[in-house]
Amino acid sequence: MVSWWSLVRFIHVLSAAVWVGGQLTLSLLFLPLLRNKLPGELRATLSSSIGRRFAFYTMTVFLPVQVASGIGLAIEHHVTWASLAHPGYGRTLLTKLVVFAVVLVLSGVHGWLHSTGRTVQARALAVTSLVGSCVIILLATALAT
Amino acid sequence: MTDARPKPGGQARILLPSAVIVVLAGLWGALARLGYHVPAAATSSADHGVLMSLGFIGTLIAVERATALGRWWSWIAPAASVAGSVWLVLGGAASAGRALLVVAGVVLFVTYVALDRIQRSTHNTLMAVAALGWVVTTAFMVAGRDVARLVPWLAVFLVITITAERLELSRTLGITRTARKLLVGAVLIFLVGATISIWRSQSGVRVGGIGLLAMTLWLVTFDIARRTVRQRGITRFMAAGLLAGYAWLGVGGLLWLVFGYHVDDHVYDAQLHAVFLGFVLSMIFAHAPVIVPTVVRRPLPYRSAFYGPLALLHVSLVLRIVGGDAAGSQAAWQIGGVLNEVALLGFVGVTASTLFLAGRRMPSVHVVARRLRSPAAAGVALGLVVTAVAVVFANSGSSSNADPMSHHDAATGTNTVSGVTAPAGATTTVDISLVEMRIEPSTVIVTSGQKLILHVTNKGHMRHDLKLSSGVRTTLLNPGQSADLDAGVVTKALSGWCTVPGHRAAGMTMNIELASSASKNFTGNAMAGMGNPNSEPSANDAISKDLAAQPSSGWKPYDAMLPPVRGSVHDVTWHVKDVVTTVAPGVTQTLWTFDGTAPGPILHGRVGDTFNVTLVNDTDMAHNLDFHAESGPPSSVMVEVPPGSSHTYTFVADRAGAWLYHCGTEPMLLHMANGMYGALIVDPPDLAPVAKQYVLVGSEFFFGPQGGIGDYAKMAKDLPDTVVFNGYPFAYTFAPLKAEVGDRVRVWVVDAGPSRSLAFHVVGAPFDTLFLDGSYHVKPSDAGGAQTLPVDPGDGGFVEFSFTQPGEYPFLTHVMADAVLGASGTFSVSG
Repeated sequence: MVSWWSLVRFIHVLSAAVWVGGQLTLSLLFLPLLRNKLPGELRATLSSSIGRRFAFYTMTVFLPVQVASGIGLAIEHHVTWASLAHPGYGRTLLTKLVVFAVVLVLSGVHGWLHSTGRTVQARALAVTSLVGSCVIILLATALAT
Repeated sequence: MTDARPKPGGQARILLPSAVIVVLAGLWGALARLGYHVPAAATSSADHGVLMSLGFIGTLIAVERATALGRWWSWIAPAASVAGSVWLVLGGAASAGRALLVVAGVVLFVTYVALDRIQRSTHNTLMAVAALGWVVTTAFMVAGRDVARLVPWLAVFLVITITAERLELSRTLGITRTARKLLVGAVLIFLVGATISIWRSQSGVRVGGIGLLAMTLWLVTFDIARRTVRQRGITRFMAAGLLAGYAWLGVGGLLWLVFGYHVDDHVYDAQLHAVFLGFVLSMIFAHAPVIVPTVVRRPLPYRSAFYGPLALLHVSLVLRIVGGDAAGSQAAWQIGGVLNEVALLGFVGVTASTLFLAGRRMPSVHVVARRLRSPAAAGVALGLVVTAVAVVFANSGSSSNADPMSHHDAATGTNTVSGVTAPAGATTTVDISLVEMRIEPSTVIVTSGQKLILHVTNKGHMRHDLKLSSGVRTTLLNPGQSADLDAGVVTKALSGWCTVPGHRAAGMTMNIELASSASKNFTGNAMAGMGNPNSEPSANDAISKDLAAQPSSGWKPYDAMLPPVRGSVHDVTWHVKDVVTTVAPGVTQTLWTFDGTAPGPILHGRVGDTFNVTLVNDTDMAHNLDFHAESGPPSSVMVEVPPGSSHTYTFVADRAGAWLYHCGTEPMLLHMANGMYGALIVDPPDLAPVAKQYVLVGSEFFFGPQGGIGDYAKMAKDLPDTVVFNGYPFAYTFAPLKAEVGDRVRVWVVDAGPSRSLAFHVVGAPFDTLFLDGSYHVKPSDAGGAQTLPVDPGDGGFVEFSFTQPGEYPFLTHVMADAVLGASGTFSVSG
């Protein structure tokens, strides 16, 4: 049954799909292509501006939407602070929130490393946060079952 | 051990993979012991300790010694050890598997004796003594002794073997005769402790702890590791592993000395794993680069990757023992335990891959290494660590991810049994049920000398087992699975419990008592009062010497004042809690409550109001909420709330009345009589304002054992120990309800029962208004008056009256027997 709450959930899921899907597409399809086809200088400029654009989108659209819809869904689900510690639903949700925070921090550190020229470490962290994003999806799936 | 004979390591290549199978089974069993829901882990969980210490590590040691001696018969030791362990894993008769392990121990002992004859040395003698530890352990197991009591002898085998190997490796470094004697002394202390433990576990373990500390001291003082840790490469890796191991041996020694003998609790977990993981496994990691090449006849080049599993082992062990065992965090304990396993498997993996790669052409090693060092691989590895930690934590504490809205099986059985007296005779079989979190019956009474067999069935939805204080135990039973537990001839009282961590503390305990001593020798537990409606009330129930005695100083009456109506939408959140409460003078009971009190909070509204009541279940048991004012199919409006979940009940109060709400989870009689009820007051339209409004909820208590829950047998037989208004006998005799002369007083009365009706009466104040069954039976304009408000269980109404003169006006139920049991109080009227 489609209710107003399913609309909120829809926005939450769609926004997550765009974010994680965007990361996956960039890392797995786009950036390798960039590396093979473009000369070094252009490649560096392009990949860093893509990164900055993605970070801008994350901060201005993705994060507000995710946090707002997430809080709404939590209220609808009667999640309390105490219930986050309970085994099962609460603890899975708590883990998801923690991993989400970790992924955001890792993405931030990735951007900083990239801008200071430490590209190897930056790439490692990009992949870590990518895997972390997939974990969030896994945990979200667990919440829905 | 470095004595490489020119013989191919064929036997080792067969035996070592088998040992890996054993270790996998042992680790699988460990997952079940850590509380994870893994399939088919029954045997490997019960035998986890034996599989790991003898089947895995013992086999490794035996393979290494057989290689060193190079005689065909010495290979019987590892072969028998692997065969016996695999036999146990496959669920073969335990006695046969254990017998094979005895054979293995004996052959290992003879191997040491043979080695000692080739080269007489202290270390060979010590290792022979250690092998006796294996023989003693397995021989006692064949005799049926519980492994928990054999831990000191398992430690004799592993700790002395390893310490003696250190002596062997140090022989070129000029260990003095005095130092050698000191080590023998330390080992002797430990052996004395282990020997005492055969008869006296408590003091044996403590003396053993002193021995462990003495050995630690010797190792730290005389081992070369302290110096070699400053070198580089493999030497440094070995030294690091050794020193970390010694630290854990010291911790283990302290735990043994300070706490003595423990079983199946967190102290036991720490005592065991400090020694067997912290010391033994770390020593094995440290020695692997030396031992493995001699056994498999292949080079094992040192790689810095060896540090990974070593570091993980120690970090995860600190998490498990400090965070889990000491600080009590279940999540830390579980995550630490799983990471312990990851460390061991990681080490096996690093060793195997190194052996494999070392056999290839060297460039390929570098290619793989370069691949492994790429940022993407590092990122994926880090990401996988995040994944593992996240999933383990998300799943911790429960066997499945239950959606809070889904229906769970009720955690309570509908047909629970308490004290069962086993019929006299040569052999009796008693049915025992394991459910979350109790064992039913909680007491079995037998005549001394009777042979008792417990037919144990897991009727819960988690895994459980039953272990008796005599040491016998069932395997870990899946839901629905049964097993017979032979308790033998019972000549003394025994206790029993579920060994799944946390379950014993949560109440899964039972007692087997002797008929003569049962009445006086009771060791109460919170759940002992669970009763079969057909059984007799327990002799162990608490008794209040004087129901009308002055309550103790900390006692506070339930506030009988009706709260005012606030708004037309009533949002409240209640936590379902188990609360230990004083329910009568000298009697405490564990009540199941709505938000901490019995009766629960008073709800007050008007006709047409919306009530949103969110129930958060903080208990281990499913509960629900049945509002009598609500309509709809019970399965959809009175949704059951599983432990740890919440649900919001929403309804519109269509009709006025003094409504009862209560928990409707089966057995409903038990849930109601144990405190789960309260009043919902819905004002009729145009209700005249009055000076005072009070709410009295009548109910009965059936005392179970002190601190326990109520006695179900008494509930079923309608034999209350006390009948009360608002949860305490004579509450308002000691804290009278106030009124003033001329005040109109309205008293709302709801009868929660579970079984007694009440006839509310105020002495000296006839009622001019009586509202019952949704309508006024007497109104002030009528000529008639009312003398009692008769309220049946599950019903409610109100009366109005006023006092004409100051004074003390008793009120009571005019069912006089119940008034004497506590259902009375006082109005104190001032002028």
